[in-house]
Amino acid sequence: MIAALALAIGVVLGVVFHPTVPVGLQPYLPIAVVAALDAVFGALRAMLDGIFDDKVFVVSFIANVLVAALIVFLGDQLGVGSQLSTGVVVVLGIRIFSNAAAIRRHLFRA
Amino acid sequence: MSLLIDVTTHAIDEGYERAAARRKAASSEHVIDERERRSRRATALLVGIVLGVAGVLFATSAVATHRNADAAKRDRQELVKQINDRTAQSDQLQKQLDELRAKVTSARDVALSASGRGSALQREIAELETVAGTQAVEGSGVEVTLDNAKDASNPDTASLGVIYDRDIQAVVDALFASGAEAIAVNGERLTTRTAIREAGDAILVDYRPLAPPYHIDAIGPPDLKTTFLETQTGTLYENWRQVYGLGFSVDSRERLTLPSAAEPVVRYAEPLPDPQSSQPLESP
Repeated sequence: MIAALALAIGVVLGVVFHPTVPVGLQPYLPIAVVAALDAVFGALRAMLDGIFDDKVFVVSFIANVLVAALIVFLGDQLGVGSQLSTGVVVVLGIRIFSNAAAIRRHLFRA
Repeated sequence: MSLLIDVTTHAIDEGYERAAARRKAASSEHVIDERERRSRRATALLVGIVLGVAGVLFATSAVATHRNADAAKRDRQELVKQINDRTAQSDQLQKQLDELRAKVTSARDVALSASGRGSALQREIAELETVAGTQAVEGSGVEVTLDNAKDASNPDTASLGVIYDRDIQAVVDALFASGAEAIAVNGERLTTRTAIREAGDAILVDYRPLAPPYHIDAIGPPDLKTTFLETQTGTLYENWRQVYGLGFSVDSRERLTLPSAAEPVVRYAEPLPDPQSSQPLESP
């Protein structure tokens, strides 16, 4: 409940103040969004599984976002930035999908 | 494939299961003291902060995406407006130029018609201007119409039914070869210095973009139509009309009026001295 509220407050803050992303960080924004989505979906599933843990969520969220950004940064330096971002999006996308499927099974028992 | 299986089966962070196992093991000696309770409250607050950050991240990304799309749209509209403005400006200048040129011509004619030698010169000028294309002309001839194929349903042949600059060049060449004396493409009179070329998807004649269908008016001898249709180009395009549905028609016209082209300015080329005259032109 508090978690959903915090998320909603964050969205409202982002819409109201729409902070400008520094130009240097803009390429990493989409990948950070996908990594954050993955962490949030994973947390939701863990909550429904009854194994949610605050510390694990905080650490995994920050680490996922940073690692995803780091992979893209490395790729940019090596000239394979777009390929690596595609890879990150594919892997995280699959994870989001299977987590969403697990959440669905929890909610609808189907 | 093991990688894909790994991704799908371990979709959830392994840390959750381990933490749960640890909690289960620790729950045997179930003592929650004040310190642990405070640290739990702190991590719960951290979860809230992290989720808030995630929300800001999502919203920022969405807002940035929409704003970029808006900016692109605005830039595009601004560019279209600039193009329209400049085209209007260019048309206006062209009109002014035409008016001034007409004034110059009439003033010249008045000055020349004063003397017998002037009248002869006037006739010569008119003749030369007709040949050069800087004089509007009329006469009988043909109108060749080229258009992109209407039926583009077959993707294999759709690109073959498109008119390119080289098609117009080929038709113009064939018309000249068949005896045409004056040609205009969509109202742009051709001179010896008119370029027919392609920029992007548009065909430019004398650097003005044209839109299909392309009407090529040619004034020439009475048998221009049959001569043109018998040329290699004529038979080829007739063939393509039947095979690819290319828009191609040749019609005889009793009376065609072709506008004048802009007078080409010669800056660097100078005429050779007349070998017949003993006096070179530039001798002091």
